[in-house]
Amino acid sequence: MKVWSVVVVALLLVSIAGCVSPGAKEAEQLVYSANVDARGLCPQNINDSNSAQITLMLYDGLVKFDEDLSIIPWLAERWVVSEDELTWTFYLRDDAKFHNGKPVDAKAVKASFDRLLDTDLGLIRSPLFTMITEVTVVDDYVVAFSTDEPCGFMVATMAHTAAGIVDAEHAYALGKDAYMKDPIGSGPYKFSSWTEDEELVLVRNDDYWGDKPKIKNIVYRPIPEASSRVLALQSGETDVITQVPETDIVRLQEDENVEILSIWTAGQRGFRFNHAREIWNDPRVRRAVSHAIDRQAIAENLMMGQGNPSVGPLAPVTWGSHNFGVIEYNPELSKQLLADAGYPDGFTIHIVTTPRYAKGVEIAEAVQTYLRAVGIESTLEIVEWGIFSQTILGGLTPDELTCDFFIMGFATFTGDADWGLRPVYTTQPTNENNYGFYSNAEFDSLIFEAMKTTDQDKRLALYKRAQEIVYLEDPTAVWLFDTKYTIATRKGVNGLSMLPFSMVTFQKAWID
Amino acid sequence: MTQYIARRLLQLPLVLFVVSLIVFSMLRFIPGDPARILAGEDAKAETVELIRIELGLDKPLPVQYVSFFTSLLRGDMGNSIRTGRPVTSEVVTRFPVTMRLAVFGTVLSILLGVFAGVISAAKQYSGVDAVAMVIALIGVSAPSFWLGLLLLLVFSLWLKILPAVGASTLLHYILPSVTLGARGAGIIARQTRSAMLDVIRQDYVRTARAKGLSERTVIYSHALRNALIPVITVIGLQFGVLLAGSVIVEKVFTMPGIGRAMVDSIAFRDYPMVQGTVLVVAVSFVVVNLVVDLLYATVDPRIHYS
Repeated sequence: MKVWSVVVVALLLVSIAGCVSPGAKEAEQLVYSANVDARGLCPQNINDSNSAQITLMLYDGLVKFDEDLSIIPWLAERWVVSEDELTWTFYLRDDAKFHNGKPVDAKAVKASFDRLLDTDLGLIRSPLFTMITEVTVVDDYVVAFSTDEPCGFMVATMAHTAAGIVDAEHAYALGKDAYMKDPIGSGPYKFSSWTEDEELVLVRNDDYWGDKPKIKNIVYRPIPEASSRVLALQSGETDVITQVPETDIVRLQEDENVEILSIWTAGQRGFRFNHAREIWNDPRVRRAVSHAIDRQAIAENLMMGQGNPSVGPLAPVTWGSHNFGVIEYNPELSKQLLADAGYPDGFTIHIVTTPRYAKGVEIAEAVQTYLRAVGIESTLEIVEWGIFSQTILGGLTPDELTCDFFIMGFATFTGDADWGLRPVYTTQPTNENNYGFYSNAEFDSLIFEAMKTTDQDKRLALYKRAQEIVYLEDPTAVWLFDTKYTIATRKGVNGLSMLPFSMVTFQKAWID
Repeated sequence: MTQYIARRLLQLPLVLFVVSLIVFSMLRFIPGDPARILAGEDAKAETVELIRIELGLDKPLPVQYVSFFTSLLRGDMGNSIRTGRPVTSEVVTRFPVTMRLAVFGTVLSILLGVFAGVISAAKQYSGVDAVAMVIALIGVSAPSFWLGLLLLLVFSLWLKILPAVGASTLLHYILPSVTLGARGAGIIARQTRSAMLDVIRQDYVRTARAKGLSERTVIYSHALRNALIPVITVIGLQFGVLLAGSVIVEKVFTMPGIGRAMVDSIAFRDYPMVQGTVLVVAVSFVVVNLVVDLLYATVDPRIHYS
């Protein structure tokens, strides 16, 4: 008995001894809680918006997106394209410095892009920049990018988070993996510390060339459990949260200590057809499916207003998007189209969904019900994201993709129609990016023509026609709704910059 | 006795081997490619392939296992696929959190459970007995997720006396420990009560009372000690359950423990992390079981190991 109590007491003492004293919540800091931790801080080697928004505060790019997705000068004060449209020259400001004091001059910019394009390094984001063939230092603060063919979306791509200028020397010295945790950029905030899954801290860059931020420390503290996250906001343990469950939004609107902010994103939710399946050969069948679904009902009742029925294959904030109107909910028309195409009795399809997309399962079930009403029976398979990305998105060949219809999130992170259309809908041998094996020759030629011109009006016209094909005539997907990006903050937190890529940054923020 | 302990400790490498083999194989047979998850949806096939080679996942399975196990024996559990940091250091930082949760939860469940069980047995069929047993039933049946959120709501949001997020101070451990310990307390209360009721009817208890000893001495020094033996079994088992069940509590209370790391790593197919965390939990379980078995010997002089 005595031994036992001694053991217990010893265990208790040892355990208590490890508890550290708390970090008090200072007035000069802002705490942000997402549902996951960042994956890394090298802008070229990440693909999640959570990490990307942090890199926006650590790094500067040549140009930058304003909140309405217009492109504004940043490290580059101005830029010109050559007569033959093959060379882009950027004139840099001369007072930008990296966090370690080195100047951000043309050499540094060239080094940063050379690293991005280094095929041996294999950075995840390099495919975005393959149109660049060479980077040249023209003068101390003038740098030129050469392309093989005219590239209409060059400047838009330079505004992407992956175009942030890094100190390449430092990055190479550390290596790809270590650099993810020890970033050096020239942005308004510097990296301070990172305890995995607990706390990532940025500290203000007092030598910043631009407007100095008002808040000294930004703390990223992930809270994976949604209810806990909402609770932490209400109790004041965190200042800003994201991924707010739709049901909590209504409740939070009544809390006077909390404010809800929303903007429309460059993203949409929908389902794609697997064009390798014979059943979808006739466009009328696909159009029938599209007309069978009531997008308004889904947006209002399932998504509780956090979605707007889609009016085109690109979200309205994306440059180049066109408003074709919501596809009419008309089950009678669906049945007619099916009969015309030779399926008066309907057929059975296999649908795959994943709960990784908000309400992914509920939306799929709703779709099933709508389809059944026009005679299309379906089996539903629910898989987690790891399996989904392997069995649906894994660079498969047509005979390897085993479903007919699958959920998809569409998003255009360059804010430009090219990225929203070309990788996902042009003809490709595997479904690495064109997940549904869509192939339309006229569409392909329109897209590639638009890629090669820098005349923005010409591009708009080409993209309009291309979208007409992929949305109305020969649909490759059922676009259900455009998604909203919603964050909740404590009252008194102001000046947040929200971008339609589900990102928020704090360089202009202050707390009352 | 020392021979017995030595023999039991020798089981550890065997456990390590079997568990590692099972976890290793299971991980690789479920669909999901860590290289692809790391690279993301937009990545080209070449990038994914490059990452796969960097992670050593292109080698044949037996080669991968052998290199994993030999490193393990050297104390190197590889690097996390997701963060690139050594698994050993990640585990070392996280394990204490889960350990504390399990210890505090167990202590709480013992204190509450034994106390409630003894009182119930001593005042069998009284009001106190009934109330205590109903509360025990609630403790056993309530899902930890629900209980945790309820406690958060009451103490963090409404009363604002306890923090909701993190594991930095002792205060942060109170609510999660209560949540974890609730089920154990309920089980132990009921176990203690029935064990005590059995023991109280024994001859030697009647003898103790006849000797004129106070009721308190009879109950605590004579009856309880014998009644505790089955309870110790429960405590040992509960500890293992707490170690693993901390996953839910760690998620709800946002604590950086091993349970959460284990589950998050599975979603990422972070093979080395899953292997490392599962192994650590398995080893702890074996060690705790050994300690519990040794405790039997101290509590019950009739038990003798050779």
